[in-house]
Amino acid sequence: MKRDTWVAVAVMAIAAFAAWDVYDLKRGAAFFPLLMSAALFLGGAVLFVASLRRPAPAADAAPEGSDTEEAKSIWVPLLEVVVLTAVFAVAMPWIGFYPATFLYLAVFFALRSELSRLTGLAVAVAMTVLIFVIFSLLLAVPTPVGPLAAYL
Amino acid sequence: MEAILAAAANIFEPSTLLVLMIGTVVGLFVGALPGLSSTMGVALCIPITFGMDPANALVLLGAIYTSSVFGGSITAILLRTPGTDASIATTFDGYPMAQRGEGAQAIGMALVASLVGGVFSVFVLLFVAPPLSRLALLFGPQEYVYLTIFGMISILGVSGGNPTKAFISAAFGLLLATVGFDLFTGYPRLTFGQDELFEGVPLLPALIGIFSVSQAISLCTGEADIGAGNMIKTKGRTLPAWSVIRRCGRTLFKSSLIGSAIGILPGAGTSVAAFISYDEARRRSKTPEAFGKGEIEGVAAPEAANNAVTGGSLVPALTLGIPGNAVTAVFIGGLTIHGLVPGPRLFTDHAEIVYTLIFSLFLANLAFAALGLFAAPWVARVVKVPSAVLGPTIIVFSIIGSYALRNSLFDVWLVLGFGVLGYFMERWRIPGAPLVIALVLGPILETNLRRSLQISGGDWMIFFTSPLSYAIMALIVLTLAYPVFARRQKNRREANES
Repeated sequence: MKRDTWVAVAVMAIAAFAAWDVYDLKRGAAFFPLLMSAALFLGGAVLFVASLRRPAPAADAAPEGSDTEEAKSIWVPLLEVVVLTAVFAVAMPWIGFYPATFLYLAVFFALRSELSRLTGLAVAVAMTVLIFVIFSLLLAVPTPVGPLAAYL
Repeated sequence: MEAILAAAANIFEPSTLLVLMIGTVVGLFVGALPGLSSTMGVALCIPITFGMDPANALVLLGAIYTSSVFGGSITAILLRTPGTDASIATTFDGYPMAQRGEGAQAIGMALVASLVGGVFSVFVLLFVAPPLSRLALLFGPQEYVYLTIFGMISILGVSGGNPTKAFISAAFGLLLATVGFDLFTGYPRLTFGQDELFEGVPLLPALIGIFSVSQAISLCTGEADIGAGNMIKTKGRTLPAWSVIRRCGRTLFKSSLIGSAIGILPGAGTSVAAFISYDEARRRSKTPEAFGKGEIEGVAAPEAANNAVTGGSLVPALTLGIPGNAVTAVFIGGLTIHGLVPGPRLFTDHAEIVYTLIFSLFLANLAFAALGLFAAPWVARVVKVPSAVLGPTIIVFSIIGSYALRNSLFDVWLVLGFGVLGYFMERWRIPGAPLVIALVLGPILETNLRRSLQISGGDWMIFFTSPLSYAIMALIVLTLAYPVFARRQKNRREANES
């Protein structure tokens, strides 16, 4: 199936799920979400039909909505970025925002940038200090401290 | 009048001037960096405004918005790398000028044009917004229903790409806007038992996720590499001679007018205004063949138009609460976190704050012009920041910004979720702007739709009773009919030419 076909199926599934979730609400509470679910489903259905009617792409072309374009995917770097960021978000409430920020940036620069190990560390320290100055010193924005940070 | 005088005094407070300068500098850099948009700059800085008083917060956001539109043109001229979409048309003649060794003059004209367009649009905002807000006081719920529909249709019409995908994006945004307690009955809807969603999907994490984190992910994965070519060095006098400004005067005025008008109308944004003005200047020029080869009017037209959009686009946002484009949707998010409800009452209940914002836009235009005059080559060097450094730093800013809203880790996950969603939407060519604008317009549409039906006892004829409704209905019909009309005109012109 083409990429747009999958997207259309996902859109219709989300619309159907939302409609199922709200349909038994009383006193008009379901009216608007049902209306919007119907609109979303309609959009998904139109995209579904359009994606099926579009001719299959040539092997060397990568037009909008085709699989060949997806074949040139960047799933590995994307996964790296998402996993690293998720670990940062999980670690933040445990070790504190600033230690987590430093570790996140340092690991990120080591893995995904062309900076040397030392430069990467220096940039990570500089960025963490800059963020600390802006958010904690100047703006007094509360940040997660975390139980482990108490031992640091 | 008292509010205007108080605002005029406010604007010269040292703290306000400092905020204005910071916003201008930040905006210049955000605009100059390809991959970062005005929308992203404003969205990322909203959390920074939490601790500020509302007037200063708006001054900061306004200055970033205004100067970021100009910032993009510096790299467009010197590197042929437009910092934002608004500056794409500027590359057509700006870069050839720079190649000829006239980079300084091109930047000078971009500065003058941006200043003229920006100041013109502030006058439009100053003189159009207050009467429009008085007119809007006459609007009932049914007029607001039509207004939101008008806003949505206009946005779908000009969002570019596949209209079905824009429609899906808008419908998904409207569906997301229903999450949380129903205002009329108190039933929780689509919350899946999450207490944090009872008050609805918070706008700020959604905005930051869709506009900032998604782009930061692209930077991190190397898809949106900002590495630009060699920068052309500038030399010579920057400001254009008076005779050149006079020669471009007509273009500057017309482009400012086009930009402000496009800004007021929902849907189109800075890039559309820049392209239309560029095309108009070329059609009216005595030497249209010079366009694209380094014609200074080709720099003046898009630059005046894209900056003229800024003030114009704030007219419907401030007076009606209807965002005309993505950046004003973000702006509305910034207003609401400071307890300011955009709409006709903003000009009566918080007049001093609103006029402070308007006056600060004047100063922001002057500030970016002054800064740009001396700092343009240094601003252009910002593109040398590696994407792999910029990307994760933006993610960290986004995370702390969304956390700061209500000290909630749930919002951190929400911003990351919206970031991944926005990333895939971009890959699948589903525009994100309709989703975010729908998130803002959704509650207005639902509340007024249901209120109208409550008033009428469920009779849908209430939507066909007032002359104001008919007027907005006519606008909707015109918006829907225009693409068909324009296509026919184009076909006819092509047939005649062939």
